[in-house]
Amino acid sequence: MNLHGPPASIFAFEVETMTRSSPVTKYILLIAAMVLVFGHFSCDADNDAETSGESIRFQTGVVGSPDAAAFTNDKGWAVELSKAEMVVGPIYFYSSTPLARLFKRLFSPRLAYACPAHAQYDKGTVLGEVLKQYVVDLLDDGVTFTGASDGQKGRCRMFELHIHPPGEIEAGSAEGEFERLSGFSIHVEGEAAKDDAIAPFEGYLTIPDEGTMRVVENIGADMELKDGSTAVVRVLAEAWFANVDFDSLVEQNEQGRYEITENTQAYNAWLTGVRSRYSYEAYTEPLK
Amino acid sequence: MKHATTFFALALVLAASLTQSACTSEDEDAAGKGDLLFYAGGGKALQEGFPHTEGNTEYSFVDGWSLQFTKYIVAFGNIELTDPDSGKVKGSFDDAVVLDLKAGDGADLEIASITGMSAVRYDVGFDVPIVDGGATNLNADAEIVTKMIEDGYSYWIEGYASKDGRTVEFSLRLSVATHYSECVNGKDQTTGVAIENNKSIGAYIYAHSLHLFWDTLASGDEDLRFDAWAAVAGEDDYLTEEDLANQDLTDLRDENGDPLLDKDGGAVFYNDGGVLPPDQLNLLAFVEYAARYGVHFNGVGLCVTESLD
Repeated sequence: MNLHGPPASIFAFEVETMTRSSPVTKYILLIAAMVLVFGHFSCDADNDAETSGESIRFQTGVVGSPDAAAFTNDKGWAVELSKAEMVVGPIYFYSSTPLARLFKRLFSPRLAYACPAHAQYDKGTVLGEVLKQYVVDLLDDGVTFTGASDGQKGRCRMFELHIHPPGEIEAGSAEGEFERLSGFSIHVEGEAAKDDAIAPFEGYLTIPDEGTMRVVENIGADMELKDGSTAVVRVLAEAWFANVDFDSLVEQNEQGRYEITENTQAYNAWLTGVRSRYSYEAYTEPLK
Repeated sequence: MKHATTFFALALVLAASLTQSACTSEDEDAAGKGDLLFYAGGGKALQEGFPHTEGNTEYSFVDGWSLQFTKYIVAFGNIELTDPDSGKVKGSFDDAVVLDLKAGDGADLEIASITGMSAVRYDVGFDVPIVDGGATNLNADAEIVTKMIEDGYSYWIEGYASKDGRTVEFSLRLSVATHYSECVNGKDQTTGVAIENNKSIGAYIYAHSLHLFWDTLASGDEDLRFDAWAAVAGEDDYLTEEDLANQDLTDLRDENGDPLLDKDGGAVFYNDGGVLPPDQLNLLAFVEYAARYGVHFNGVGLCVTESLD
């Protein structure tokens, strides 16, 4: 029985027949007609349920963490950051899964298509996006606004950050702001202390352009994107340094600061921290 | 008028009922019936070890190791065929089997059959569970299976790797119970599998063992490495999963305690794709994650993967 055939012509025939039939026949034909009509809609219902919601326009921004200025990391170093700046963008906010199936596949780091070397996260619908790159001072208490986004209303359960060097993506910040980063994606400066050791340090980082390393994917979120709200990404710079052992730094610059150079534990741990989905979070706030 | 209302209401109920049944069964019944036979295997990696060649690609360790498996014991179970639209289970194999994919020179083994299925397309899902006493042992060492049950493992993998006259034996026991669903069919890139009328269709769960040795959990630029494994084997050159936990991914060391370098003198870097928690940045956590994602359907068809822990 083909329920997706041309019901209109069949229905027309049956209505005409009904006018000349007995009452019982009429009702049988009525049932048959209803089966056709109900069937036409009900068999497509699941597909329709996966379409996304209404169009919205919301603001976006990036802010640092209140704990970034001073913290103690997992290696026992008391760290004070005096500079922490990064270039960030694009940013994509995802539903994580088609909206009708949220309960079946709620966001979880455990949910991804199998095969990490060909990682295919189940991102769902793009609810909003930041398409340019911006310079963000992570020690500034205020939110750096990263533009308005047209998108779809819905619950964002996952987002991803792209961390490219300045110039690889269209600039959202004023051109002059990028100069502070000297061509790198991230610049940090500070002092770390442990026992009797004190290590003033400085680091510049550009994530290696290998595979998708410059994209931090699969970051968990749980926020409602709607008209008039601001979606804010918080960068937890203290988490970047969670596993950094400053003892591994040996090269000093002219200012006497230890440089976080490649092939050191500090560099690998910092890079891993910057790439970690646990170093970022997101929330919404009313439009200011 | 009362009769008319009653008949109309009856008509509505019947229409809804008939519509429901028509959508869920008539198309399927008209399509006929067929069977699905499930196999499991590990392909050339288990049969030939590393290096080996598939098509025009040679799979070899960039740091010069060769490797052979001697045991690759894993459990499969809870195989389900579900309606792609409703998710309703239409056929299942509810038991679990435990088998050694290396035994018999790594030939594929039949693990389950689901018969009398309507000849339509289904989504495919299955588990790699922790082995329990209810699992049927198809061909694995009984003593090892007993240990897997006692200690709660889903994998028991043994083998040896060699380089420059040194041989490292390894025994890897992993507790990574995982559910796989909505599998893409690696043969034609469709989702699931289509049953054909009056036929037995074969389907294949592929243990993609090379995942264990890749240096990335993210996309692209993956290399197979064993130096980081061998470095923590200890003086007896016998490596277990407990040893892997001693290799810090932020501070990879060779067997002498020096920074682990690649053949060009650069620091070896394992890219965790940002997925490992900061307190689990060690090689065991990396390999456990990789193992979960190293199971495919009908070739390298990918599945949605969810931990059962």
